[in-house]
Amino acid sequence: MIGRGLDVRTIAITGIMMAMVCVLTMWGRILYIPPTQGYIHLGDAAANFTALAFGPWIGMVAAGVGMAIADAVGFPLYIVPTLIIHGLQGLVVGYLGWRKSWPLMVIAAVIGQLIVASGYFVVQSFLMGLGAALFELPWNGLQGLFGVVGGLPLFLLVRKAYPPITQMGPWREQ
Amino acid sequence: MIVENLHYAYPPLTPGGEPLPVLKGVNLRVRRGEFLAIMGPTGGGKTTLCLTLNGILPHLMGGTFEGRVVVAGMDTRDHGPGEMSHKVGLVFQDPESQLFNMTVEDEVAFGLESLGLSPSEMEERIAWALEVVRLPGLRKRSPFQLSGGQKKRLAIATVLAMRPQVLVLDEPVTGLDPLGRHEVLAVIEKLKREEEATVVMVEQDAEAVTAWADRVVIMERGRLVLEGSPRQVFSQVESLHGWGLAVPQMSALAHLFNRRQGTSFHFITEDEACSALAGELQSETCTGPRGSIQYPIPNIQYPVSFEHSSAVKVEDLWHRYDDGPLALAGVNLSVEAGDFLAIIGQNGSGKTTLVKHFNGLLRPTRGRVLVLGQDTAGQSVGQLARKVGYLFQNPDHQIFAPTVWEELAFGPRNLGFSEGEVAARTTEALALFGLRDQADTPPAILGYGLRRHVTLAAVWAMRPQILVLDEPTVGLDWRGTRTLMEEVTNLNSQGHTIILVTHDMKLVAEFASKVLVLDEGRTLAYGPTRQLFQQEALLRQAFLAPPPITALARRMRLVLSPSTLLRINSAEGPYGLRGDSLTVEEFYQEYTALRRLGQGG
Repeated sequence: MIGRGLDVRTIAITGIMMAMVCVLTMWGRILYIPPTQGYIHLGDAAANFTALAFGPWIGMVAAGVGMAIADAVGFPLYIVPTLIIHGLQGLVVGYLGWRKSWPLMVIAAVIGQLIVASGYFVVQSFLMGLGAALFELPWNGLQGLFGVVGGLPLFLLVRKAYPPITQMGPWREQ
Repeated sequence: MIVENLHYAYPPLTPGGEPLPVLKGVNLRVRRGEFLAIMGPTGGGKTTLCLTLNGILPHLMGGTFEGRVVVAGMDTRDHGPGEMSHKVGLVFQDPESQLFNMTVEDEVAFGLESLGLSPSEMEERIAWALEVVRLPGLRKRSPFQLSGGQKKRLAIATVLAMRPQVLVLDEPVTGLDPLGRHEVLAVIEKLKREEEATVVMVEQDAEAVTAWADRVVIMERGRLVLEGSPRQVFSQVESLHGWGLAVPQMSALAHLFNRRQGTSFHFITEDEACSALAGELQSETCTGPRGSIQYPIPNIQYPVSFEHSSAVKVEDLWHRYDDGPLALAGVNLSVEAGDFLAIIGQNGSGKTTLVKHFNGLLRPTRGRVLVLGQDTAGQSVGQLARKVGYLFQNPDHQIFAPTVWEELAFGPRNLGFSEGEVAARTTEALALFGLRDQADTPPAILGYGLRRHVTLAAVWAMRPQILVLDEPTVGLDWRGTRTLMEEVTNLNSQGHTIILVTHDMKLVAEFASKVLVLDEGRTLAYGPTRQLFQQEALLRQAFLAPPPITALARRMRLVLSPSTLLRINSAEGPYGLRGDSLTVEEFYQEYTALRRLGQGG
């Protein structure tokens, strides 16, 4: 069997999913959170979907870069932290959950959101102090909950209608 | 081009699943400058074979690949699709899998840029390629604003512009208007002749294969089962029908004569048929001009239809797409309940735009549309869907459910039928369209032909009063087409109104009672099928042509007059061919009747 690495299709999928993550972060805002002046958005759902469907590498690049681009419009301070935190999220969720059973996918997605929440906690405690970061934490947790509840069922439904989706990521198994 | 003992299986669809074998030992050699046609039933592996010819398989899809494919001196195992694409041009079956640029012009330029051509050369080739496919005025249009047939033309233009050594065309002319088929194939033939290009064409249209191919192979279940010149292959009418494949009408006619009359005709072209049949009546040969002479339309009386109510009424309908062109410019139409109407016209003439108004997918810019006497303006798509079943041109625009069963059950369930009735209809539809084995399969992973069946079955399960079919037979083999048309005719005889958009004139001639010809958003003609196919000048204006059998009938009528006809004047008065046969059977009946008279006199 011929393996596939960084070929045309991988690049295309990464690009499309990066755009999906970005668009759903910027325009997929479903709930305004007045205390933090932030939004609950569907970016994390898209990130989880991407990592579960296409694996850690596409997940890392699409989630990290896609979300960072979204931050570039309106939250420039967060561009670099977002790139790192969500990139790590995509990598970990894909590594733990890609082509695994659904309980493992749940665990993977939850761990991913824990990485995100704690990552922003660290960053915000540097930027705004510990108190403000603690205040933000539950809202970031809520955002993460939407990420799991949105991304995982979406992936399972899409996979049901189109099973080959899990075979489309790079580095196919033998 | 050499294909040696090629076996290919697609990778499993799920981790740990079974690989899906498609090609099972294909051996094929194609000479430089040869035009090879591949025919075969749906799901036989034709498309898969095409994809191996430029290395897309196995490089982009993986899977198990055994044997050897060498095209233009390059082994596809060593050269990926990127390299192969300089030598091998591939036109996909579904043009939407191929088009991705922002404008028509960019789309054609894309391949040329990667060849590193100079801007002036590129400009020249773009202009040439768009001219060939009759799209020159649309250079700045987005490919996604083109009609289905125009997209197909564009995909062909992108490949022609690169002037590849090897052209691989997967059903290149289905979905094109009849003259468009001729134009595109003539250009391919020219490339072949002048630049010794090799052409491999998958095609279900036996007429096109006969007219253009040097050699035909039949592919069934991953193997090549028959090979030879079109004349050799199409003389095997019964085997071909057994595989579910079409033969040219002239071959079908020869076969009919041979079977019923014990003759040994073997014509496959109109010229040969005309000579043979005219020769049988007399010693005249077919030197007469080919159908270009005007002569009066036979005055045939039709039974006056009894009182019908109107199924669809269109009053001065105009439609302009947002930021797009004027697609309909004042169409008037009245379709009576129980009619079988065919809508024909060149690519981009507004056929799809018109029928999308019938179920509310599009709304009039001006004018109005009445369905079963009610203005569509006040009704939602959901309400209209109860009355008007709509089959999309592209099955992928319609498929969404996780399994075939769910896809078929969705319609009846939404019409509010009981679960028992839903299950009954679904089961029946599965059986009718040969989908029993696929009931639990996600429709999205089926082959094109089967996806087409799924959408047909889904619409059929709803049994709507009015059924709109937008090019339903594209990508179907002969058997699939027959099954579909029989079912549709059945529904029609039970009183359902059928509106069929198609480029297949044989279907129109055989099944439709009325025809609407659209040209640039206007009604060019509307009337009974038989009369319409006599108006050659009008058809030509709309880039259409009558089916071969009608052309033959007309020509025989010219050839046979007047000396033969004088000879076979009988007590019943002067008699000749009416020249308006619509089917092979009809022509046969009329011809044998004429011969009996001739022999009697």
